[in-house]
Amino acid sequence: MARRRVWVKRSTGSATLVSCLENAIVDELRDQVILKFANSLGRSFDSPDIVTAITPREGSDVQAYPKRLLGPEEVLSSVLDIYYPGGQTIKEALVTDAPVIWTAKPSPHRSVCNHRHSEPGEYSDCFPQIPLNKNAPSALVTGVLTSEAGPNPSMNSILTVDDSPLPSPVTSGIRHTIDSPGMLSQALGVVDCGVPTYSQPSPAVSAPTMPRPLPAPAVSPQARTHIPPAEVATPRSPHEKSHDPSPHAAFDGLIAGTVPPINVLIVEDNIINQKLLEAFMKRLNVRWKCVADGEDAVRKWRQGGFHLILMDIQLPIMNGLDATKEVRRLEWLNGIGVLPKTVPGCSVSGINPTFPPWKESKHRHFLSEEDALADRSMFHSPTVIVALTASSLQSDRQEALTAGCNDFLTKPVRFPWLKQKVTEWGCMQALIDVDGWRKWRGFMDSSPISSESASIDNEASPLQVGNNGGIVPPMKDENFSTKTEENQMQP
Amino acid sequence: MAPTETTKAGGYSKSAPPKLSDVKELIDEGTFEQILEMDDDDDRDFSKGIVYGFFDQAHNTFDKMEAALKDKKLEELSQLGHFLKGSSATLGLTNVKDACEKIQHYGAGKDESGSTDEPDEKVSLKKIDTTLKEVKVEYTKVEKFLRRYYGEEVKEEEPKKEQPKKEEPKKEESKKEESRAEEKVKKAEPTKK
Repeated sequence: MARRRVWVKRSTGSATLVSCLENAIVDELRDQVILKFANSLGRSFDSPDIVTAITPREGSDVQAYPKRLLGPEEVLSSVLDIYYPGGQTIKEALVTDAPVIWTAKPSPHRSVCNHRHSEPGEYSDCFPQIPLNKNAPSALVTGVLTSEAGPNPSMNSILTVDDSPLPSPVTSGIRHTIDSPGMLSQALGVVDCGVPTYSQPSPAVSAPTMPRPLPAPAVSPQARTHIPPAEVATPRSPHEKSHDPSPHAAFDGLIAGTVPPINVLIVEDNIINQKLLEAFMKRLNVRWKCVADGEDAVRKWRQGGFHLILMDIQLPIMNGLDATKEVRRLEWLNGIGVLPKTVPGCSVSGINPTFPPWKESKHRHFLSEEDALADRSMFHSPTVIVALTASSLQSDRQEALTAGCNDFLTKPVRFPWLKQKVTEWGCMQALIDVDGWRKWRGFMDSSPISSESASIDNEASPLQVGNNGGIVPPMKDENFSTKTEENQMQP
Repeated sequence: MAPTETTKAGGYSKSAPPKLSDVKELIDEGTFEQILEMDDDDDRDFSKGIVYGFFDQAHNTFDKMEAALKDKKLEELSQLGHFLKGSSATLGLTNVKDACEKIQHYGAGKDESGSTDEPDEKVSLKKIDTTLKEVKVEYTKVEKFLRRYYGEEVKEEEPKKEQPKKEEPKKEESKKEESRAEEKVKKAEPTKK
């Protein structure tokens, strides 16, 4: 029997096609949706539980064809034909999402969130915000998925994993900021004897207005998951050994061979620790950036493309916990889940005028200009944030995890430990975007981007990593590629 | 005191470069070695950069601590303690790290473990004063060792280190402490070698 392709999307995601039999009913469509969104909906919900909404075509008779949820028994093609005579367009994608029932726990983001955005519960009258992702953004990343109960349960379960064997019997009961920029700069001035080049050890001054757009164009609807083919395209095997000056770098093939490279943001105010972490990153052959305080960390993060933040907790200006909360809040507001939430036309202004589409009349959920991320296509998933502190107090861990950190490392950070963690995190990123990972591994053809691939390869060579720590953003869309490269060059 | 230093330095420079295992009580071997592992095969530029960077950072921080102590700025002392704690922990300088942590706690109005409140600022300042002296002693030992470790002659370092102490009222006492500590090291040396 003939199959019919239907546009669907999640509330804030981009549309994608699923294929159903011509006479399929909505219930069968939901099966397809679950398969399609295997990483988000599929992980936590059964297909009968997800809801699917249809929105009338613009200019059509809203009375006759209201915006409504589809019943499971409705015949898909007839509904679509009625609503969208002449065929469904991508803009008319059925919105499908998690069931309405969910507990609106206060998210940790709210503690720092003074900006207007609607209560999660507000959506329930019409259609739920994706509670799962929004409420526990980190859960998905770490693979410790704990339904929609908020961040804490997942954090706790992570907690059991992160018991660091490192000797760091340090206790720290206070959280002060260190206002010693002078100290830092002085240190910066003197510690140059050994290591020739570092990626921008000084704080980022200003974020580019259009920071390194990750291609992952939500514009191309078929591409459901956009993992940075760029990072994915890092020429590990051919270049790594030749560029590695030391035998210690010759990794057991674990990092080198299987884990997609990740982009790391190091947030550390002490230049000594910064330098060592940078050396670790070099050794791991991952890309990194370094900033010295929480404010810069957030600024840098907003440029997008970071998979992992190593966050010192006590920092000047804005401490690591507040920075973490801010990142989580922005992720929440901007709807960064495991799926790209960018909708065509919103990447420039950063504000999606139809977000979510059925709530146009209400304004409270709109992102304020200052909260909107410049280019949401740069954010594929919530960043993994790992707290770094010399304290081994359980309460400090708890505090860090509650703030939205995914994991915890005690200082002094041991290289084998860090390596193991980066491997884990890298694998998680791969899980989040299997397609991207497969592409990186060469299992799939990346035909449309062959020209970009070449330039990416250059960018991603270990040498580049060492020299500028440049983040190589994922690239899938040719429109973005040039900009991306320009941004690469920015210090 | 000066003669002691000279002999000691001389003693070191005559022998082979000091080994990390000689100063287990000062430097955590595993932690420091992982920094050494980051070095290239043919030089120790990276670790040396880190270590010498730390020297400057430490001197700097100690100076700031002295100033903050004079001004009775407890909070700043706590921050400085935390700051130096981070890098000394990274280098595996156990004693320095522990002392810095104490300063951090005292500065925050706590006892040395950070668990109990210490309401009396004067007590806290007094404790910091003592701890700062102790940490300088510990630090001096570490710096001497590490400079030798990187093949440097240490003698010239001494006067420089004395400078901040001249401002302190209890100069004599701290000097005594220092010499005592060094005596200890000196005594311990032969047995280890």
